[in-house]
Amino acid sequence: MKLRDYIIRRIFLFIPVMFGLVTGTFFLAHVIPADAARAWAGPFAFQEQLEQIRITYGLNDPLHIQYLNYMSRLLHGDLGTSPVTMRPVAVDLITYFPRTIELTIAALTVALALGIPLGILTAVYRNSKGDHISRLFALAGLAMPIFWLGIILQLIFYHHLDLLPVIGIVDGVRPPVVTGLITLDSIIAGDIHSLIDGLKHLILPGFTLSYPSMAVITRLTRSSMLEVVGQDYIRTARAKGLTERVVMFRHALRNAIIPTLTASGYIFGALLGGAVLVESVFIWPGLGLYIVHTALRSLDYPAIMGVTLLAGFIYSIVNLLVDVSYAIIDPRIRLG
Amino acid sequence: MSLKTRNEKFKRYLLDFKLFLRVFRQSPLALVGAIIITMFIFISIFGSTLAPQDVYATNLNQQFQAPSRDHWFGTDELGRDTFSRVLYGAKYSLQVGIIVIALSGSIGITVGLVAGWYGGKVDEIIMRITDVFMAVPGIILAIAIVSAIGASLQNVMIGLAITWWPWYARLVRSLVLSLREAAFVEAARSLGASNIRIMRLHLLPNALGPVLVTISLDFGGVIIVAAGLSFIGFGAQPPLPEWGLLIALARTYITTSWWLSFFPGAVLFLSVLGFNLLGDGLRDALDPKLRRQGST
Repeated sequence: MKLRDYIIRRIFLFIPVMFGLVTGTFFLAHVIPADAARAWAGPFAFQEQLEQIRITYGLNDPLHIQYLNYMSRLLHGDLGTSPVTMRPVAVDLITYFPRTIELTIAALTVALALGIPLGILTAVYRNSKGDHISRLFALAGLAMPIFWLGIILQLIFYHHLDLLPVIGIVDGVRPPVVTGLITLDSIIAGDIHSLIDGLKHLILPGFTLSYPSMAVITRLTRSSMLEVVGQDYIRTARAKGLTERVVMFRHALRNAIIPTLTASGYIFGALLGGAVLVESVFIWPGLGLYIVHTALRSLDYPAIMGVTLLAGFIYSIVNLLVDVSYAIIDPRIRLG
Repeated sequence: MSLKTRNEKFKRYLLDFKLFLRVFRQSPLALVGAIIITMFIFISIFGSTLAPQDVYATNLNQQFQAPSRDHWFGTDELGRDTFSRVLYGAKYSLQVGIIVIALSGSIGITVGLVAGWYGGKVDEIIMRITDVFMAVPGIILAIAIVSAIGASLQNVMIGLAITWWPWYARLVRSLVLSLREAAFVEAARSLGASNIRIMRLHLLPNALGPVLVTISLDFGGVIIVAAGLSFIGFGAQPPLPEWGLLIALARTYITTSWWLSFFPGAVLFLSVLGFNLLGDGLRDALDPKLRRQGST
């Protein structure tokens, strides 16, 4: 299969997934026999008010009509209006999503930037004391409830050390919104103070979110390094008299990094999900805080469906990109 | 059952037992994990009996006591003993783990067997369905499901089972794909064995090893995610002493009473660590390739 054909095939697989996702979330929200109007209006609403809400949101229409309406509105980029925030869900998502992406990207960067070198080092110095410590560190990372880790870090860094801000995204004036990402907007505005402020606010939530993923990446890099080191071409490289450094970095690492990169799509999804918890701990106004706020108070279908769809869309796009770049790096995948 | 087959069965059990011993001999950490899990299960079963004080009884003379000899983990805003509440809460986490794994495992294994064995259109349709479920990060999908059916611990189990099964389906399918060409499957088919018989007696037992390892590694993950859902309010509701909920409720008093959030989280962390350690050891023992390389 040519690379182009592979990419086209992969994109065609993406379409039914999105269709299934839209249909699935719709039926999940509408088939469950709960009284949405009652949930939105509160326990003291009059019958007339309930009826008004049902008419406004089309809750009296037959299910297939509601479904078709929903699909046609969705195609126009209309996700409906949230009965909790009283704003269009699309507007809400545009407001909250950049914060979550900023947090997720920060965590992914930390996880990769610390996890890969740690994985290489522990593979090179296998069975050393450092290797064992890093193994414990990784096992702890996989068992760590991040919402609890976040609280403990808040306790240490704020209440005892008073070093870092522990809630929110920024203390001072926010830079003018261009991308919605505080750090990026500060750079665009040339505002050093906001940038530093934003980064300070990112440190604790970013690290908290990244820890389990960092653990996964460390172990993954380590084990694939060890596997590659056993290959014939590494022995050949050594036999040629190359220095250990060249063998490790030029021959081994290039091949060993592939499983880590492949897993980064999955890790991105885990971070996006974990962000919901971390945002709750650090009062980080992103999608997680939004979904908890809207879904928990009342059955805010439009908001829940909007967040689910957006998360699914972004995650699928990331996986698509990872698969395509994997196919570019490793031609064998295209044959399968 | 003839004597011979019974003998065969006995031999197989013996082999399983030897494997079991090998896991612990080779990996002391797996042994630590097994000890932690044993304690966890023990506390889950006897927690309500072991708890030194009533978990719901309030005592307003004893509010916010720091950890002491009387109250190992301190007391909360209503004077309830945190140690008792943490002991009592263990069973909720164990329940969630067992039920979610049992539900998602049985759905996933069945679907995976069918997809892998029948192949063709059936396989294609099933795989596209799993694609949809796996397209949303698990915890977000679980939140969407739970908020539709109502926030409770029971609904968290349902939500998590629905998000988890596709992983088992995928795993079992891939195992079946490699098994279906095996000579013993070919032989069973040529002898006229039915599809169900082949799946049950030939494919399932041979695919079970890797599935069990995955399950043991997933168990801790399920417990963490469920506690997380309770933490943000979708799972257990007060006054249930579920660990995630205990941590959430303690946040109000974090500046003055650190013990309220510290201990439930530490116990949760230790329990999950136990499952991960055992799962790791099992994987090493069952996969000789990994063992040789000395990786996790």
